[in-house]
Amino acid sequence: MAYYHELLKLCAFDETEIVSQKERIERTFQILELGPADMEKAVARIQKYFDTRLMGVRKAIGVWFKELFDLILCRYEGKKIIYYGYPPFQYIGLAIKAAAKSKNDFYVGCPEAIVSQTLGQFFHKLVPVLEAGEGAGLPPGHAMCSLLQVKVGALEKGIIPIPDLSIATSYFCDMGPKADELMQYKYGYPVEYIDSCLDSPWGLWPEYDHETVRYLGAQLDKLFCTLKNMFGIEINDYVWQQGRLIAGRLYKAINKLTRYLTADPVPLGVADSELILNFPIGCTGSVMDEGAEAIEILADEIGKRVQKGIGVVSKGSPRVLIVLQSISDPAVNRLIEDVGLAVPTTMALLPPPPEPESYPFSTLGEKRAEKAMFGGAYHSTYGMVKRIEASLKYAHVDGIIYNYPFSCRPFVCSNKLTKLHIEKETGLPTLLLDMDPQDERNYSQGSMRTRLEAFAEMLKQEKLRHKKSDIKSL
Amino acid sequence: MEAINKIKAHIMSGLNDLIQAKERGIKIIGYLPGGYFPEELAIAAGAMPVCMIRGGNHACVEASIAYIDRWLDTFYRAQIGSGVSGTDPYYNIIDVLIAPITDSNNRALSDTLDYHTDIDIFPFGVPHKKEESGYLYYLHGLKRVKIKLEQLTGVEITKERLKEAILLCNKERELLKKISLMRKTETVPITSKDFVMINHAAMIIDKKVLIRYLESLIQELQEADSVNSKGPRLLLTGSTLAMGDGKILDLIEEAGGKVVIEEFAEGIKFYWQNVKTTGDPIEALAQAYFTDRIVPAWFRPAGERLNHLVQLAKDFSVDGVIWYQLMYRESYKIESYYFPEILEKETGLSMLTLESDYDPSEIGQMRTRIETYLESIRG
Repeated sequence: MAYYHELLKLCAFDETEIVSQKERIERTFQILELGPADMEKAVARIQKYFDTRLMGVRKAIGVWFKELFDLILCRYEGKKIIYYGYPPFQYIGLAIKAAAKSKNDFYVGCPEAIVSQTLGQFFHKLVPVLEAGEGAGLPPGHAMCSLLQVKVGALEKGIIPIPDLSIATSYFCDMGPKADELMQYKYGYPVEYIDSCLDSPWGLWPEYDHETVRYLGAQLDKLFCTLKNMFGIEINDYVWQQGRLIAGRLYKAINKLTRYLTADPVPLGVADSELILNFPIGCTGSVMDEGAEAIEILADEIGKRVQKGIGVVSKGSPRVLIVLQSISDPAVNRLIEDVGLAVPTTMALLPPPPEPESYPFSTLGEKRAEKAMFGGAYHSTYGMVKRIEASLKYAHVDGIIYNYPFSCRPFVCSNKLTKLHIEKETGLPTLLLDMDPQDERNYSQGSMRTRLEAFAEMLKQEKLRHKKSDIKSL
Repeated sequence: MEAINKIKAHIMSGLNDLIQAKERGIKIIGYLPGGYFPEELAIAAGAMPVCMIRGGNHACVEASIAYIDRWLDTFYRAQIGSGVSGTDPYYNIIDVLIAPITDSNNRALSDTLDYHTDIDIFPFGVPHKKEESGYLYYLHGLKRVKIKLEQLTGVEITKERLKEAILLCNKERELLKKISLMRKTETVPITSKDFVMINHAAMIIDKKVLIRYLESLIQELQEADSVNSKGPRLLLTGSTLAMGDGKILDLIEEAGGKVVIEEFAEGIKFYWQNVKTTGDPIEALAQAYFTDRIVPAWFRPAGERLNHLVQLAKDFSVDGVIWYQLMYRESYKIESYYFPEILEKETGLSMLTLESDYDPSEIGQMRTRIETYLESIRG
């Protein structure tokens, strides 16, 4: 039996898949230098931190492995490779896939998300990749983004292929495009920077300057020209809609699952819900069908838990919104439940507030840019804060754990203002918790637990106080 | 030198000048450094521009901790500390703060001041790419600034007024360039400390006064002896060289080095080219301040700047390059990784990278590294 058999069976691969994909699987693990001991470790880790009683969870992990195989082997399999930065411009990868004559002609994705998720979350072997990134221009001690260190390190180690084009998200942070510039210098691949300016003044959102949309729109339209010139693929309104349809099943499944997550008691743990977070953000391949199927199965399983009143924390536990989960460390994701807090939703899963009426912009780039402005994060710090505030109406939480990546400048710019504003406008206690979703060397679980315990205790007391006052008023 | 002393004295009394101007009803236009706010617009509006370029004080960095995380550029954290705490009199006197938004660091400053203070903040975006669409967006930003200044001052910024202001600022740029170029030869008549000081003066004191001083200075320099002629010639570059952050220049001088040319995004003016005086003046400003100037490290890509540094190293016949940047300025940090290879390939020169958090405890280590570097250059 192959040394990876037990692992892949655990991740819901069937026997025929394991046999038919043997060459791909072995080549991937060989490139990643993963041997029998790593497989054993991954099995133990997955069993320890993920709820493998749920078939949906096992299948979701399996989909991540499939995305990993597709990423590592895409050059050998003769595909054109396009990487995009994190966070991506929504649907851009899918639009490229939809525009291609055959979706198998292209690999499109966010490699750092896939590598962090798999090598970090399942194999606990991300540190060598991070170290390679540190040695290749993103040194330690300078608050360099660890997600970018993963990307740079993976390129340096030769575990992910050099792309034919990289789409840099120049509108959100400065480090991402700069890291691409560094890699462009080293490896000579072309980079298309989608630029914009987060210059809207405090108080403007949801209004915006039309010229800001026009500039971002022009940048997107230029990207579409580049894609046409380089690869002969044309992105227009129709193709964009087709791209959205590719993700239709996935988003429908996510919506169904997230509705169940709002139950009391919360039926799914943070480590498990993390598995779906980066499906639509990091990948455009197996995730769209098999990932959707995994989430559909998971939603059915979770629905049954809700009916039976089964939860990962007890009913009536304080409920908190978190910003994001670690994408490499399931142990830290489990901490929140360990201290008795329920997480019914995350920032990424919050429903968007109602959009104002669109302005009749003419180009596809402009229309997409306008949508991005409504989203808040690409508008301004104020836009992001107000977007969170507006979405909180639907969250029904008792507090917020604003766990932000300490080396992510857009978060660092805004976290204290966000806390002040949200506490003032909503009255929800907010804990600022600096973390690193990719690099466990940058935090101590012990100190994080202490801070979470204190916050949890405060929320529990607050809930108790409300309960007592409710009884008195009866 | 007499002119140098006069400029220094004028800097010392700069705040009083602003207070007196304000008492006369003149509006004071604060702006963030980086070279993307054309002072011409403020001058044409009959106002006084003043750059928020003071830095170097670790107490201000410490004061910022209550308002912002430490993982941002030191200079901007210092600005947040002094601006929000109200301890910097310049922040208390300005009528508006024009904030060209260039990267996350100054965006954090703009947002934090807007939230915590009553300062009227006016942000406008600087695109990160030199393309037609970027130029148009920057031009749009300048037009917004123009309207803002007209509303604030009640003065219409006519083409004639703007052209007059451009001529004034062109004169200042020409004089700075002339002084800078005097350092190309073996005889270097002015120290870098003095040249940096007059750059800072150009950001805070009245242009007409400064131009008079600079003209006198050029005459004095033409007759002056060389300063510290034996030391290695150096190019000093980096992100920000703030007024008050003089330790790097002191340490180089004490170690026997001689900075003959400086290149900084913030703290050194871009004096190499003038603004055109033909055509539409606001378009001429956009052309000069956005398209024609050498880009800072936060452009994508920013190779133009690295080529410029190589050219400066050649033109000024330097023996070495010192890269001085502030902590957590990520664009500069990444460039500092791969520029030495380009520099070595193009010029055969080595580079020393130094970083500062405005912490006085850095000085000893910095001194050792500079001394060692200069020793290695001397061979």
